[in-house]
Amino acid sequence: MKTSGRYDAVDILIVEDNPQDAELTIRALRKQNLANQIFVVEDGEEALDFIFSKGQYEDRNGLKLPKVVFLDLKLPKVSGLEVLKAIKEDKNMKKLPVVVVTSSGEDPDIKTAYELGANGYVVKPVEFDAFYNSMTQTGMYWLMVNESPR
Amino acid sequence: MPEKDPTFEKSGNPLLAVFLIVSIALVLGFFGYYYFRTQIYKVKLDHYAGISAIAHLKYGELQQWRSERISDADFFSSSPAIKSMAWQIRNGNDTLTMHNQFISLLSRMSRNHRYENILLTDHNGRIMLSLVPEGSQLDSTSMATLQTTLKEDKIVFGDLHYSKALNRIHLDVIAPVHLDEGSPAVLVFCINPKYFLYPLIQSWPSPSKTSETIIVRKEGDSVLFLNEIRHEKNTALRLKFPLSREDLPAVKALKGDTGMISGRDYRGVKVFADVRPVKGTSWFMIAKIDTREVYADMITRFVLLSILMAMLVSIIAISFALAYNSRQKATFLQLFLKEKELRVSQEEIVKFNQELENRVETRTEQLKTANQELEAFAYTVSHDLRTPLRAIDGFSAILAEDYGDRLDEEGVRITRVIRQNAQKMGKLIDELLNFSRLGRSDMMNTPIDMRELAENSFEELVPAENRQNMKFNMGNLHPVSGDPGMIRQVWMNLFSNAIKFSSHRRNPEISVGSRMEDYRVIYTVLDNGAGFDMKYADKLFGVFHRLHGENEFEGTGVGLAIVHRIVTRHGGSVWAEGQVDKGASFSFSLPK
Repeated sequence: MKTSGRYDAVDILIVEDNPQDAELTIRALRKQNLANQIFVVEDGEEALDFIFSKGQYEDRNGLKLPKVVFLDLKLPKVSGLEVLKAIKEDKNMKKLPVVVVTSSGEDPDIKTAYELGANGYVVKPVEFDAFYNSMTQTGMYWLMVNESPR
Repeated sequence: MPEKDPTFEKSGNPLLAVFLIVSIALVLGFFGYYYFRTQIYKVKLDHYAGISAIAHLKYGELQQWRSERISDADFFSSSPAIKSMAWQIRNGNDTLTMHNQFISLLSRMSRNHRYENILLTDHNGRIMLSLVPEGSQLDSTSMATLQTTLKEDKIVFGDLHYSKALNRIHLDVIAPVHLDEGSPAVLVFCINPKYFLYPLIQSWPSPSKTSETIIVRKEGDSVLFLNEIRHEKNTALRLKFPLSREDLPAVKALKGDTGMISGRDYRGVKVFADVRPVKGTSWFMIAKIDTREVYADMITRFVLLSILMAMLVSIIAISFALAYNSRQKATFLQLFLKEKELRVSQEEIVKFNQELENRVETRTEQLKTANQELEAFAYTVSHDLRTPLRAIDGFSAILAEDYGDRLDEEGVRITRVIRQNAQKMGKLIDELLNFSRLGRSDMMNTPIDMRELAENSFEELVPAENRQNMKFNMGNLHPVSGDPGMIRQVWMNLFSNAIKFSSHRRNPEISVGSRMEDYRVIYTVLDNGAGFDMKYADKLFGVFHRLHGENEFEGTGVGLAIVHRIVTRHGGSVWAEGQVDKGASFSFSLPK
């Protein structure tokens, strides 16, 4: 589900193909009043278009980048790792904080993600309370504590 | 250890063969020697016999010749024609006519040198008629013989003597011719021994290098050789030896020896001789052969025998050698075949090995693939199963939160049940993933401070400030080597079990201790909790096996299976003892 219309002052870009997960994440973040603007894209291609102001997001050009990207790994079209790679290999974009938020706790993914330059790796717990805490703490850190690159 | 090859053993000691050959040679040698001695004796006898035979033959011939001469003399001396001639010549008749008659009568007697001459003389020895013109007188020896003839009135065989007139050796046979009245005439047969007599004596019927026949007679105190001998020239009637030469066969003959004797001949050479007197004469006949010739014969025989022996021994030796050789060959052939067999087996082994290696490789590849598939599976499970679970739990929570006030007690309970089950499933998935990862992952092997690890694990489960009624006894735990992460899981699982099953007690008590054995260390966790029935002890460590219902104690049933897998991977074992409602002890061993 996309938030309505305006995507110029996006705080968090959520790249998540599962609507339920996206909904739960947003609910958690909202509950803590952590983010004003949350934008969700549902696949890797759209994520890259958004970030690099391409395709349907052409007219984002010049607009501020999000403060952090929550990136799921399992995505249709372009995979999460490919998106991560594209962001981190672009000299203009690589400063963009990307946190991998995924169900998979498998080692190879963690390793690869960090090798590609992920700024963090969070495994989504199954249990909702834990999930809630995870998301709020992550959001708190990246939006409140962390200094975003300008 | 390869068993001893019997064929090799049998082919035997070459020393044995040598010994056999030497013994055979010795035996043959002994036999040869005795045979040789017999042979020597036999050869000697043979030669003796030969010589005796020859002597005998010669003797016979000699006597035959003598008797022939005597019979010639006898015939003609009693012939009326001769008598008439003698009568007529005595009465002064024409000698020429008589001469012609004489010649015609006797001429054939002079053929082939049977007689050199035949003389008709008067009783004084005056020659009346002669076949061949000759000197006018008889020599002294002939005269003596003549006188003997007349005196004894019989035919006399004169002896060999040297005739100066004739310049040769001469022999007469003289016979009286009886006339009707007056003194008898004399018929003298003159013989040159060169023809007939000497050849008769000197010939030897068999080819021999050294043998000869000699006739001798006594002359004073010497022995006189009467014929030409083989090994010296001009010996007839010249060669003489004193009778003191006692080893001379001639001397021995004169002394009266007869038959086979041995001695040294006129050359000083050792000889075997047959000696015998010639009856009717003063002669002695000696048929002799050098002993060396006899021995040479024997030596030849001996040499032949030795060669024969040597050949026999060689043949035997060669047969042995051949037999040995063929045995060796057979052995070597066997060895060779065995070696070939061995090599074939070895090659087969190598091939087999290679095959095994290939199979192992294939299996390894298969296992790798299976492992990879399992990893992919685990990945999928981990990812794809969790997500819907999260949704179930999450949205149930939202339901409870946002709509809780609109739900009745039952509705709330139902929501709670939904959430609990979703969470449980999540835990189960995590534990299953962990369990499966344990089987696949690489293990570390580092020294572990077990006391510290156990304390930390327990602290994590029940922090010290929360242990109000709980008693936690930590003994001195022996250190050990292993994978710290995995061992930590073991402690966590065992402690959480102990805590869980004793939490209902008023004073739960958990103790940890270790003891050392020869090859392993044993750690034990003891609790005073619910315990279990020992008859289900072996089900404890199976996956999902539980001995308590969900109502009694929650749990997935994977914990102990994880413990079992970890401990087994370390090379140890795990077991439990318990009594219902009295508590339980869980022990695991790790190799030192």
